[in-house]
Amino acid sequence: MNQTQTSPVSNQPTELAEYTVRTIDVKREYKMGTETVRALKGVSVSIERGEYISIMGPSGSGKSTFFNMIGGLDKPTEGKVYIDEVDIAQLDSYELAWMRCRKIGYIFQTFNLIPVMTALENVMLPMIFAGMTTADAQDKAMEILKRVDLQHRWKNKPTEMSGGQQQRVAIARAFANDPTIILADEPTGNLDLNTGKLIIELLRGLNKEKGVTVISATHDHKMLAVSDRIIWISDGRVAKISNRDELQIEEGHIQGPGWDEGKTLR
Amino acid sequence: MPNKQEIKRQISLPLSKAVEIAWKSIRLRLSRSMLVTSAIVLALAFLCSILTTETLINGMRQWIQNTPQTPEYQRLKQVRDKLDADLKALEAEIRRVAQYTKAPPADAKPFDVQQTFDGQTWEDIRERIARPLPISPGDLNKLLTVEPAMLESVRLLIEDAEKLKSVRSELNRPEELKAQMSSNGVPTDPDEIEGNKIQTRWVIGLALLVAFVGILNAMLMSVTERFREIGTMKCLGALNGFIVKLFLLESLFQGTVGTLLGILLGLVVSFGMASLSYGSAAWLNVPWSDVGINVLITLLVGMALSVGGAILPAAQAARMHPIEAMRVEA
Repeated sequence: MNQTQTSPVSNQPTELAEYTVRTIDVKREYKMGTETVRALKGVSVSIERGEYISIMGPSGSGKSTFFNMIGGLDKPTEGKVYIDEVDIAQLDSYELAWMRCRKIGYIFQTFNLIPVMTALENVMLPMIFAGMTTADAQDKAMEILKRVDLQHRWKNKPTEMSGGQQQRVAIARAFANDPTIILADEPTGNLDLNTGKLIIELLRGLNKEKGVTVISATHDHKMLAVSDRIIWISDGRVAKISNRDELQIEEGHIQGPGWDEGKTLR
Repeated sequence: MPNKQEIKRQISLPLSKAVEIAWKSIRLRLSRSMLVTSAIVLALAFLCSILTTETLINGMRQWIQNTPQTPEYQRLKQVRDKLDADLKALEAEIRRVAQYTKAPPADAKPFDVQQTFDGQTWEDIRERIARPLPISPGDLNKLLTVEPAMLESVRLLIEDAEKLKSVRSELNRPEELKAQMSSNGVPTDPDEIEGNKIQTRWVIGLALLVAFVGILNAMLMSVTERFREIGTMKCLGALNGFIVKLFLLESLFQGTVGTLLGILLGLVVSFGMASLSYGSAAWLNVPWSDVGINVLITLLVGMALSVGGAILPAAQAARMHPIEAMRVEA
């Protein structure tokens, strides 16, 4: 129902819904020596504003490629990717950098905080890149750190914090410039169960209160449980898009309609 | 409804912002990247010590060549001649008086040389003045027992002989230093120096090469170990130019600190080695302005090499796609 059938060339706002991300028959090929690897074989997906989306798929399925595509980190060989109704293929490197800075917040599996900077400085960095003054950035960064409950650790370096705390700083950093999309790549992959749960709750909470679109690649069933929709990618195509209520999530097992019944994850 | 008009171009941050971030980063990284810094320090210390040693040797060569022409040296020569003449006259007088001295009376108190000259014997005195005594020690004792007034002449003789000794050694210094340098394989004759210059240039060229390779390697290392950081910065909206600037500045700071330490080490080594080989002679004629020029050259070379060595890896890193930078496993 959300798979768009509109004309691929249109980049005019549609009246259907407010889409944050729209891909139309996206194909991506890599040249590896003489061989051509077809990572994506035509993916069309529309993601609405404020949705909480999980992308699932075994490694090698093209999941990462797709994820990078909607994050403005990669460009399609064929097809269109619209982020906030803007065709990213038409952006030059300055415009892409502007978009990464303000429209998209990235959260990584390995946290990727800048090791020499304090928590506060890490959160300030995207604001500095956006041209904010140091004083304003400081105030705003402190405000966001407060939201993730780390205002007392603002002076600490990443190495002085636990994995969960680092990921919370990373989340604060992703929200620095009030983005419309949060891209989270296995955000709980390096965390223990309970910490992962807290991170998921935090992301879900921010998703609701800021109306930001969260797109995450994950294997974590706790993450799937809070998702509005789950996009299953397999062999470079969308195998299935399921709503939450269609899912039965059991401990360690996920059963979705049309998906390999009882497939064990991790 | 958002549309194309909303996308703007990312602004380039002012250089001061890059300086601020680079400075913050290098302050913390400097101790951690000791390996990189030490490579710079050693390479530049090598260059600086080669240059300074050459300068010190040139200074000594110049000193050997110029000293005999100085008025001071000419004056010392005159002093030497006068002292020589005075001593000869004194010795002649002592010999003449001794010739006419009768045997001392039996009740006379014999002259005690050790009591008069702070426990020294005539042997000690002869050694001290580096000159044979005008008459034998026995005759001297006899003379001074009979003619106590002659003690003044003997004292004067010893004094003048000591003065002459020090003047002679002062006058001999250039020749001595020359011999010392030759024995160390450092040419001092103009023809040989000309031939040696080519050799020196090779050594300096080699030192530069060592410095360049060391710094390039160090910078490549420091950039490659930070691919992930670069990728993250790009995801956060850093422009390629900013990343290049950041790395060049960090490299410049690190290079400058490393170079300054290297210069210090190089100066200590070259002055230390020269002092060990030539003693105080190494400090006789230090061409300080040339040493200053060496320091400046080394500093410029170090800074240029550390920036130059970082340009390629930094540009390469900045051009990388953010996802590729992310993919590198830590």
